[in-house]
Amino acid sequence: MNEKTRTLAYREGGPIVRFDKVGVTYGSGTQALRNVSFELESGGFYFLTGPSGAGKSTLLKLMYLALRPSHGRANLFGVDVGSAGRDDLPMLRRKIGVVFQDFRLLPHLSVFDNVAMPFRVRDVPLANYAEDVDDLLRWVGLGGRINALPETLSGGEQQRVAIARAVVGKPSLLIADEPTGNVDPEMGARIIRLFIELHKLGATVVIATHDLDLVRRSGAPVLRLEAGELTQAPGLSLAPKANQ
Amino acid sequence: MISALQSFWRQITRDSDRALLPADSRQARPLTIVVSIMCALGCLAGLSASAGLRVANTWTSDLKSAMSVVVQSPRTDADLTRAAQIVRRVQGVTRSEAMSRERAKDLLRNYGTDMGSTLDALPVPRLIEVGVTAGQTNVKADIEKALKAAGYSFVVDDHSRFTGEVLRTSTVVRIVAISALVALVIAAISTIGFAARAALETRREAVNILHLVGAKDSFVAREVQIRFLRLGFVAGLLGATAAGVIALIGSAVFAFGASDFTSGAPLLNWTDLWILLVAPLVTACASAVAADRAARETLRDLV
Ligand SMILES: Nc1ncnc2c1ncn2[C@@H]1O[C@H](COP(=O)(O)OP(=O)(O)OP(=O)(O)O)[C@@H](O)[C@H]1O
Ligand SMILES: [Mg+2]
Repeated sequence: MNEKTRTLAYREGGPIVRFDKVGVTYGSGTQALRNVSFELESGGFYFLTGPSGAGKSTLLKLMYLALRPSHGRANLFGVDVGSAGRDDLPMLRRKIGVVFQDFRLLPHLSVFDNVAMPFRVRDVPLANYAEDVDDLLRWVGLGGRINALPETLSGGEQQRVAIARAVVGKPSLLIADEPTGNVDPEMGARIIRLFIELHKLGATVVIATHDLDLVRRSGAPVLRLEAGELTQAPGLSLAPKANQ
Repeated sequence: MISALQSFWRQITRDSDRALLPADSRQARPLTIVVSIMCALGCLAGLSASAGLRVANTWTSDLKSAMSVVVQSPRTDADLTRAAQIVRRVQGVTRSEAMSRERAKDLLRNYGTDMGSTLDALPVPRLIEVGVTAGQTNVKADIEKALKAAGYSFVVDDHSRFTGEVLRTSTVVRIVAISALVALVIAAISTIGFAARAALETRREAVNILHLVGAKDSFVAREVQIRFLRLGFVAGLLGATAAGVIALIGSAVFAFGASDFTSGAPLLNWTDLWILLVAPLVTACASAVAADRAARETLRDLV
């Protein structure tokens, strides 16, 4: 798809994510998602919930372009993910910040360089991001561990590094897979506040979580997955399950 | 040009702690050794080709500027001298001297056989030694024409058979050396390509993460390329140094056993130094190009 059609298809304020009867079948034959349709408004704040193995991470993988749908159409920023060319993906991914469920830090790089990764892959000079990275690391309570290697950090600390990396580039779509799973409630609240700050700056935020308390308190719209099917979504008139 | 060199230098000396793809010394060390050996062999092939060419040129240029005329049965020494004068007048001839009977005998004795008094009984060939301006093409024919007109019977020898032989041999040496060089370059490029592919396969997770934070294939390929540029440069330095040392030793051995015939052309010459200086740069560039190509290919079917 060329630059022109892309801008035509994506209008500010419209849906930033649009799934239409999306299904994912893994190589092993596991059907992780079935017939998933929903839209996320640009600038929205969403939670994604569901039991373990329901397909939350799979859905997020589609959204951060680590996976292409096996069926249906997934549309991000107006670009059809299924048919987007390989060369189109980096530019889309640069608008997306991701907190992976398993962090995925580079073990040989310092905390600082892990967080700086989104800048470095764009060849931004060090002077232009060093201060931002330092500030952000201080904010997530890792100001003293800037030169540490990930393996010397606790799970919660690694998670905060992953969060810092996801938000440092001020992405327009922030996707977080269980971002508060490994931290104490106080740090959890702090992290959510960080996401809310980013949301105020105009980012669309999607957070997968098991923390139903948090979801209820926030009052934000919820997508709920059960066994690969969407059972709750904003604007989704729930058809009886038997129909599918 | 300057800025290209500067950026080359920056890439070579870049802070490796911050390399986005993890280094692997277990892989890099043996590869450096293999590439440096290839580079050393390549340098030696280049030096051989250059030395062979120089030796051949020295030999043949001596011979090309000289001819000899065998005058068949001149009646007197004066007759021979007159023939020498006729030859001297031919255009392109710088020197023309009748060889005395004694010197001609000495020449024959030089062949090593002790012929004693039998030599006196033999008809010694009467020679005119002729010096010519090198590069003049029809001197031989002109000499023949002049002597024929004066009624001599004679044979002009311009050593073309011998120089031809030397040049052919040196050409063969050069072809062999250049083929060896080409084969080594191909082998080095395939080795580097293979290693670059392996490097990416073993760093798959890191490559995936870089992609997911927005890296383009060209960016990841460049990371691989920089690594192999450095490896090639270091291996090239090692190889060129080794080749230089080997050539010095060989040159010393050669000079030690040199005869009059060979000492005119040293095996190693200062002008050959450029081969050793250029080798690390060529190895670095070839390595970088091979790695970049392999990386782009691998990335295309990685994700
Ligand atoms: N790479 C994979 N290959 C094969 N099957 C997979 C793969 N990843 C996930 N699955 C399967 O797909 C289903 C959905 O997995 P997914 O990770 O999306 O669940 P989840 O909702 O994120 O679970 P959790 O809350 O435990 O993180 C599971 O049955 C899982 O076993
Ligand atoms: Mg998950």
